[in-house]
Amino acid sequence: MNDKHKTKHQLIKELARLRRQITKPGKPVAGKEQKNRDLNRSFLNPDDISDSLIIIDDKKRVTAVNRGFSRLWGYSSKEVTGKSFLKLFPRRERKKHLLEMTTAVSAKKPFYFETVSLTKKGVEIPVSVTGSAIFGKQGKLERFIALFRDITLQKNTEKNLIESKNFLKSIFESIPDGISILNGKMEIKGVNTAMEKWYSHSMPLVGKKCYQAYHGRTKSCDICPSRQTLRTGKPAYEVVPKTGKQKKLLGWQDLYSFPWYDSKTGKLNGVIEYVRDITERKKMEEALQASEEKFKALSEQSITGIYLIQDGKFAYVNPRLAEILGFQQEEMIGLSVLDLVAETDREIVRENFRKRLSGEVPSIHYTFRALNKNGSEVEMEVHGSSMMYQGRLAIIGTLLDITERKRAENDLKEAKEKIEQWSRELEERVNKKTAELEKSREQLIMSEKLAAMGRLSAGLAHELNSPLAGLLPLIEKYKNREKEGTNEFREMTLMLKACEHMAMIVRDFSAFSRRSAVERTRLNINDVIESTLSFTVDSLEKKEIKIIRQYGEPLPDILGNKTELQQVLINLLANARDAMPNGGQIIIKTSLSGDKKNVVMEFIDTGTGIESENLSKILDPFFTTKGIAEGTGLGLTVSYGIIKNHEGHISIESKPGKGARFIISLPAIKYHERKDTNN
Amino acid sequence: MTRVLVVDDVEIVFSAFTEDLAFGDFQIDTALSGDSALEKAKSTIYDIIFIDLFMPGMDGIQTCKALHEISPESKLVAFTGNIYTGLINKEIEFKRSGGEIHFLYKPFLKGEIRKIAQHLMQRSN
Repeated sequence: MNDKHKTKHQLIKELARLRRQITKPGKPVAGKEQKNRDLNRSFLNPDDISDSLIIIDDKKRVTAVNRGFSRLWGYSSKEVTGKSFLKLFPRRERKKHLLEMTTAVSAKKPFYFETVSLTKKGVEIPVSVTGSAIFGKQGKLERFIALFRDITLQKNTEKNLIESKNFLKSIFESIPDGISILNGKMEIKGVNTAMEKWYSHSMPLVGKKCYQAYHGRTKSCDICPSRQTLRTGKPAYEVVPKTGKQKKLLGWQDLYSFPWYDSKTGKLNGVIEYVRDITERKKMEEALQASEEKFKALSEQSITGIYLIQDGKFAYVNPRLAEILGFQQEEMIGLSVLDLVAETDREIVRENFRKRLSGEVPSIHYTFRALNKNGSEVEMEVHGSSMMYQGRLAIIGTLLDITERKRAENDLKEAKEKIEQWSRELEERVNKKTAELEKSREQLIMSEKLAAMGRLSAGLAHELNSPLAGLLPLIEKYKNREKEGTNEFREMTLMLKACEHMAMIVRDFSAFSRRSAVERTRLNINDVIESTLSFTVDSLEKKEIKIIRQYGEPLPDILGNKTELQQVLINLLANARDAMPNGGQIIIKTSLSGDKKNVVMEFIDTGTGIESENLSKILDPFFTTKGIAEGTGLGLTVSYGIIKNHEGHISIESKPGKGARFIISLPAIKYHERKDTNN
Repeated sequence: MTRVLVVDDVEIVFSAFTEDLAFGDFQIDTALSGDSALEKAKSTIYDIIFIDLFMPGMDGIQTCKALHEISPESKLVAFTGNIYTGLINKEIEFKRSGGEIHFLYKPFLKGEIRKIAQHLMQRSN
């Protein structure tokens, strides 16, 4: 058996035998001598021992070493013999050696300890020392004998073991959660620091039943995953109360129990409890739940529609939103949002989704038209933003049904527009009325003018026509006596023309004095126009003027004087002709007025039109834009007088360059009035 | 031979008659007032009497009525410069009293006097 494999005890025994051999050498006996030698050899040859053997005298000097010594220390026997053995050890170890040796001497006991050798090369090697003091006669210390063994391997193993143990322990202790090891009887076999900290009030924990140590109970708990694991051999989990001193409930724990199998036998040793304090988490969960309930209540009771949209679908809607759109709340979940948006507004809504999801805008506010379950449009006002929901982007917001508000706004707008319209109409009416009043005033002035002129003309005509009646034939007579081309002939011609002009003025002037003296008959106004055209159309056509007739048929008759009316028409046609020196057209239109009380004639020309400042003067006597030989300036005044005498109206509309429109209306005879009237 | 009396307070008016009737078989007398006309009509029977309706003193219609009584066979032609004043009424008024009267307006158109004179004479023949 190799020494290396001998136990410490065996070595001590062996050493004792060796010591006896050394201290009591037997006398050599014949026959027995060989046997003893062999025996001595087997016992005495220290070189056979692989460990290092050192013998030291009482002065602690080395007296003998074996080969094992040289192997370990590297010194030869000679190098150390006679030298202090203490040099074979590092300085720090030497005291230990002396102490052990002193103890061995005083106690008369062998010694055993571990130390470190210092080799010749200066290397330190861990060694174990087994030795004893050897006493001579009278118990005098003679020497020490010590056996050194290289325990490097053993030390390394031990070191590794300790390191490994420390490693596991540090892990065990570092875990902030509690770990508790139970045996099959639910007795605590080990705990980590977390458990010790938590249950400091029931220390020591090891050896107690778990329910006693952790919960202050005498019986196991009703809910216990560890008991379950012991029964089934499988992991279990429960949330259990965390109990403090005097069974006070401190919080809650996740308790995971894992089966603890013996690695060699495979038998269930017990349970590993893994305990996590979830008091804070549970509090947070409760707070979160409370908060969730609060917000849910808020949302569910809200009078505003609330939504959460993910992937274009409703992930949540509150009851109000469902109500607005005519759905059940659950029905709406999963519905495509754009399906509930009016087609015309889909693009806007889609774009606003994009803006929020892309983070382009943090929030958004706009209105759009939604479709309710029936497909009717609902005006919506939305305030929306985006958020993370279940780890993904979602769109959230509130929706307000503003259909009524919009309607009210529209009503208001319409009402406003209507009022504005009324206001405009009123203004127009006022303007029209003002214009009419102005016109009436002008007409009144005109009537007064005419009345004065009438009175004047009656006398004037009488006074002037008589001399003219004589002058004209006389001048004619004297002119005829002269030869053409003579001064006299020319002068007579001028005199004649002047007199004729005077006669013309007097004749026109005297029209005002006619009053009711004129014969009136039933007349069809279209006939009157046609008869007038029959002797004027030639002169108009010569001037390249086209007549367009637009006669209304049938028209009621009027009561009037044909000659006078013809005179009016001749005046109007002559004026139109003079306004179109380069030709044009005259539209002659007749119709019955809206109230059927008047027959209306319109003369619309394409002439030069009338300057606005002339429009008010056009009916004034002697107003003319023509040369003296062309007109008297009385044509329209006379026409006005005639129409007035027929209880009719004449009006003129014109703009420079846009032609003129003369409108004459004359009272129509009622159809039942059969009788022709001669005033 | 047609005998014609022209009554007017304005003398120059007569020239219109003398001129217009110069080339026919007419004998023209003149009077400057109604009274003077009546005097002449008493002594002479006129075929046609032309008379101004408005004259100072005895006015035209009164003269006409008186002339009609004195010389009912005479044709009466009234004329006036104030062409439209009450002529119709006067005609009606005159017709009611059983007479016939014609009208002319001053100043006269060329040949107008001769035309009416010839017309009246043809009718009476």
